[in-house]
Amino acid sequence: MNVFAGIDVGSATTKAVVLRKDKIVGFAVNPTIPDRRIPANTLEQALIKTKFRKENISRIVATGYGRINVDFADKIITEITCHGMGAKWLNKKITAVIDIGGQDSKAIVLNEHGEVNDFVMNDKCAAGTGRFIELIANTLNIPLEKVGKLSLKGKKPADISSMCAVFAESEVVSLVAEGVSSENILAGIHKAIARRVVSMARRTGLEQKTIALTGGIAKNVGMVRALEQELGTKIYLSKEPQIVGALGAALLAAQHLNN
Amino acid sequence: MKKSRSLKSKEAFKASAIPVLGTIMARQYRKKIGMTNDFESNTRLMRLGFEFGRQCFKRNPERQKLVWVNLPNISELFYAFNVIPYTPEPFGGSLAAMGQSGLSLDEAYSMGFSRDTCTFCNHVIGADNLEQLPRPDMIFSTMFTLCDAQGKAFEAVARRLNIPFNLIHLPTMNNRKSAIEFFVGELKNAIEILEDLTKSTFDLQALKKAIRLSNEAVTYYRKFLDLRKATPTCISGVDGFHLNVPLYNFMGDQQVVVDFFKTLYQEAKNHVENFNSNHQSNGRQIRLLNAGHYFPLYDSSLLRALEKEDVYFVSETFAATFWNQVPEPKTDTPEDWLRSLARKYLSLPTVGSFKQRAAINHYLSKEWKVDGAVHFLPWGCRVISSSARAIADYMEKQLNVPSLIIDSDPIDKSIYAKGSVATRLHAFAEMLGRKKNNFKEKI
Repeated sequence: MNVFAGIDVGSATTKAVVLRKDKIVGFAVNPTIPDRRIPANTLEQALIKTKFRKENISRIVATGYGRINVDFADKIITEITCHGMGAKWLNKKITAVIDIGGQDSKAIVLNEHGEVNDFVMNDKCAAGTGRFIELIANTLNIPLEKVGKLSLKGKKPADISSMCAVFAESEVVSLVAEGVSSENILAGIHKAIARRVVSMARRTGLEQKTIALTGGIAKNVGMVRALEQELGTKIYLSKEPQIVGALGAALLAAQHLNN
Repeated sequence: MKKSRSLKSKEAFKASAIPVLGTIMARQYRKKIGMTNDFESNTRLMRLGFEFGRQCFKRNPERQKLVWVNLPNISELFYAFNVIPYTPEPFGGSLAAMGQSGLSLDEAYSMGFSRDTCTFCNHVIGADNLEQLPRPDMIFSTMFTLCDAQGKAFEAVARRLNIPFNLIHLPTMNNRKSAIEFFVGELKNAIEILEDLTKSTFDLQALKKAIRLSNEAVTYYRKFLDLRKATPTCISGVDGFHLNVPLYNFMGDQQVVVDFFKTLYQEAKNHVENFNSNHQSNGRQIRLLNAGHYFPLYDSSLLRALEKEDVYFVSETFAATFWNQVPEPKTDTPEDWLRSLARKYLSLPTVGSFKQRAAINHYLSKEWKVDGAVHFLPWGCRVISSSARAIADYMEKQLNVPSLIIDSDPIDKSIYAKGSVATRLHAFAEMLGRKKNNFKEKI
């Protein structure tokens, strides 16, 4: 049948992509909740829009931090490899990827085939991740989908000195008490995250590359702008940045079988 | 009569039960720390450990002194005085491998010691306070460029126990005559202290015997390490690491240690030969060098998961800390024997400057044919952490050996994010695998 699937079990969302003859025929995104059925359900949802069933899939690759829990996958591959592959497939010019996920961020440098040449990944800390923005959005009582746009309105970004997510939260509470606007606080938070991610990524020489931003955070315009300012270069976005890892997994499933 | 028979049967029971119990415990310990080989040496290792523990705890302090030392310890000198050199740090490693290091670490933290310092030091302080370690008569700390914390931690313990404390400075300029003479001075000073401690005089013959045994143990140790050069390797990185414990951990220079390594070498050799006659290399095995500190010892599943994908750690830079022999002296005088001892310790690859560490990584990468290097960094160790980037850059740019730096800790589980470490290790292996296979395809 030549139908392949990739499942990306991230800390915030689970994504599934179904691929047929080099075309995405279905995909789905669900929040990751403590339920072992989430990967299977997400794949089922991705299949609904197609004429295929799970039995028609030739090969499934699982990725993401929860990859080892996808017991029906034929192979597991790390999200670092998958994001590289997915981003390259979507745009051949891409030579580097920044992936800011729910619990970590990564910078990946690719070769001409979308294979990983080098990568760096943040440590065990929520700062510089999607979760950090979520935390601050909650503290400010602002819906997550609005924080990016609001941050662009901040003309005087607040100085966020602590990059520990918990300490930064109390810093934000102090800033609110001092009367600093939410826009300026959010601008400061976005700037601080961008600075942290770029300082980590710089070692790979990534600012000289054509960069794609993947992961749910790529939907946040404020984060994209802050990263572009910090990098001094334009960042490429795909229509569905959240599914790039799952797409890469599906591509690797296809590649593996063809090899 | 009855009593005597009962004693006899007790002795007989002990004689038959101890080896059986030893074997059972060795199996359990092996399982707990993640070793998989079926060498008889595992049981021997366990027995050595027990025997050494018994010797340390049950000794008569009037007849045999015990000193705490840190790595690299000048074990030959202590054994020449019949003094037990006990290294408390690796005890933390063993506890960690069994998932039990939390208690001693928490004890140190509750005593007010910072979480941001060396976790091995915190373990020593905590374990001592919990009376898990044999009480020393004195503490000798070796100060060298790769460890800046141990001296002060040991001094803190010595002050608390109200026992003498001595620092042995190990200079870095290993080729300089002045460095050798300086270190000989340190050794002479140590000899004077040991003479006072043991109320005996320095015996050159005893030193020569300790050196002979030490050299012999190192010979078999290195032969064992050489077996891991085989392609594909069949000795797990977890086993490879844990099996070398006696040499640097607690056994020092004794005939039993020589025998242990001799047997280990023979067993491993047979295992490798048997494996190689049944398996042909497909050239796809990924071979890694651990160029940093130890891997997270409490989680061997990390390395096991890699091994399932045919990714093996085949060498450790730290192993080189213990593989030098004492060279033959120019003359058979105490002065020249001390110079020889100085030459051994000054030339340890992990003791010296960046150049020396770069050279050993070059040698290990080439000889063990590694595809990549992983630099595990221990939390709180400023020295290793601050030099890791330079070492990794050197390996990538000069040796063409891709490097991965991982922040974790060998013994403190609370500073460990398994998912993140596993992802980085597996992604690194995937990257190396693709590079290796592409390279082969191009050929």
